[in-house]
Amino acid sequence: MRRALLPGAACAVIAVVGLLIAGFRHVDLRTASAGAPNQSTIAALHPAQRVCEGPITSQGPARGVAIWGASAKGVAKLTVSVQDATTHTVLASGSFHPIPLESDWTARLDREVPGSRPVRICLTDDVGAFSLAGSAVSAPTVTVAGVATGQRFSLVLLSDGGSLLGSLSTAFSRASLWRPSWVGSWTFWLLGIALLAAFGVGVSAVVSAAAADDEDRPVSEPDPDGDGPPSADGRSQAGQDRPQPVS
Amino acid sequence: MQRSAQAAAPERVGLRRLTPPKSLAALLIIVVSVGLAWALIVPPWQTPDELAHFGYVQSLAENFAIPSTAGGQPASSDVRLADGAVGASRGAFWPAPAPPDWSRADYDAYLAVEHGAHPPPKTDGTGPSSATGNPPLYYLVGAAAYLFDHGGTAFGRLYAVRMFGVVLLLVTTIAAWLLAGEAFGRRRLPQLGCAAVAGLLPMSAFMSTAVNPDGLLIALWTVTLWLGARVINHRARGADVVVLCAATAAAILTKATSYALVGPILLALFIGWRRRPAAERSGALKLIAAGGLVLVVPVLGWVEVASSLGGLSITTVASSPAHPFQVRQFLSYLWQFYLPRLPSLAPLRTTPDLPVYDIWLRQGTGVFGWLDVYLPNWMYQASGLAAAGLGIVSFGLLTRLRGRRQLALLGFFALTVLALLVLLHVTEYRTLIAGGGQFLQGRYLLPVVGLLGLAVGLVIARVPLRLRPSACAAAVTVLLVAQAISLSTVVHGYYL
Repeated sequence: MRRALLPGAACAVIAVVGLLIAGFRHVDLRTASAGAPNQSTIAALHPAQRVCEGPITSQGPARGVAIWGASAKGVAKLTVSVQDATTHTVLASGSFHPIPLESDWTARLDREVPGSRPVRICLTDDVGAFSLAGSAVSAPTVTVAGVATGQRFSLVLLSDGGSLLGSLSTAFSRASLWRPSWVGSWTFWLLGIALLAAFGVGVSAVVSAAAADDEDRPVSEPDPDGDGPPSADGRSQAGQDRPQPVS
Repeated sequence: MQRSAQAAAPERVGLRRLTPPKSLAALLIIVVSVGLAWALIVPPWQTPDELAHFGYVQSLAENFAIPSTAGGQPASSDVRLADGAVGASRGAFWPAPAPPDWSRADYDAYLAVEHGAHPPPKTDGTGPSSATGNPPLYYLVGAAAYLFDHGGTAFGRLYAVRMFGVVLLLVTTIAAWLLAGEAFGRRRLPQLGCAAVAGLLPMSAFMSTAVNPDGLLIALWTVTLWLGARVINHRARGADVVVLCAATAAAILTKATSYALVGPILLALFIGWRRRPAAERSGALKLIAAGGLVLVVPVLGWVEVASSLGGLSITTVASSPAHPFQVRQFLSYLWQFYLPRLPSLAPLRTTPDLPVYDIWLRQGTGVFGWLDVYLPNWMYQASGLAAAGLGIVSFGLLTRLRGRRQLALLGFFALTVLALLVLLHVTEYRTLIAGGGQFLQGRYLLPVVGLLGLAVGLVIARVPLRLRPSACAAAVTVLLVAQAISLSTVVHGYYL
């Protein structure tokens, strides 16, 4: 019992502690999305060219905007400004420096944009050409200026977030939508706790298995085929592939 | 691989036979909680082809018909409303910029329509989809789960089918336990290691709880592997033969990939029959013939039904007269799949890196959603090292096998893997030469997850006695850590 319990418990404790430590890593939290996949290039921006998209309402305070695309050649520079959707007053701005690699690029905003306020996101090319990614998405409430009609560019608003563990309540709240009526955030908390408890249950499974193997060992019966494998304790038997001790 | 007679737990008699051993019971509790987590955390219709598979289930449940009407809608109005509301199709493949809708107001608006005076019909999804050519068994079983929440929303019905997948995952786990029992004898630590791999491998849990025939396919293949081993060990007893043939027929009626099982089970039947005393062999042939009927009749029935439905495909192997199969080209394709391309070979590869790494290893380790939610890269590297280590150690141990029964089991398992690989590679090769894209996905190897479990069980069985509990504990812990990281990756990908 002890032979199985100690290593099993040690494995489980190390794993749980490791996972909890990893859970404290920082993650950005998406607070809004334009809902446009980065399927294709919808516009090639050149210096001084500007595109805008909105209104978009953030679920919480936003401190960054992520845009998808790639610079055409070398390092480009683009400025993102967040405007009030009605008055077009600039609420915050930031910039990013993309390279010729299709990816998402995050502009950190100089001020926090409050949540629950409809905003418009404008993207201005300052230096170099930039291939802006997006797709054709029908959303009658959103207007886009500067790209072909019916196209929207991919963007998400980001908050500073926090740790992965600290963000779980938001994640579980979001995950509880579009589910059967009986599912709520509590369901995911319960399953999360069950996953942690599984490490303990796993130890008990190993201990039970080891105890059962200990109780039953060694049991040996003649093999009618004479072609049996080694016994449970790893020792060879007559007819096996290794030299046998002769007593 | 051990005989059941050796180092065995006492025979379980009477009702005790139905009570799982404590270690298995504990594992099943874990598998249920992990399975439920996968079923519920993955957003609606964010598993491979889930819309098409759910449409098939819905068509059988609502109309008792395979959705194949030319010109019909592939998805019902009910599903289209739900899909549009949550943004499932829009976000498929692009979860970062287009995650599922998080707005409660949008959800309430959807509920108002769904529960309104004129909810969208559920019966008008009669058109063909990418799932139409599949045999109907999974969808029939899934339709029963669908009806559990028939009066709820489309999401309730979808998640009812998903949660049924937890049952399939349990079947896979139990079958792997039994498979290890046949291979190693009643030795709980190797059995636990084997069953834990089958039930707790992240991709196994992810696919088993998706609306997808792969869940039933994995379960049935694992059951078939167990029964095949049983037929070999117990000399083709009548009940084993019939159940083995029935399980194989069920696998074929689940997905055409299972035609690959026919050769291996014929081998198992032949070996089991040959191991009988000569005097019993002629009688045993009648049993095997009866088993053959159990296999052939349902499959031919499906082929007939499929033909009457307008020539649905009965196999995934495409054929094209314009692009004939060329052995040299096929071998070139195989070489490039597993080894770096030689300058003399024309490019015939679908991934930037070695396909064996990109497809079998990375996707087999864990790529979730519509193959769009990736684990941290170090997980794939660690998985590669673990797979290489396990492969080398297992190979070393297998080369030491000498017993006829052990070699027979090994031959059966090896032929199963080989048949699956050949079928998959031939299919992809034909797809490629016909101008199609990549066909293979890592999840296509999951039907033999029980054999991966056996490899882990073999190592546990052969380490020194005092280290066996530690080895088993390490295997279970690693699997649980992989589960935790995979689930948190999915949470991060869709909800943060």
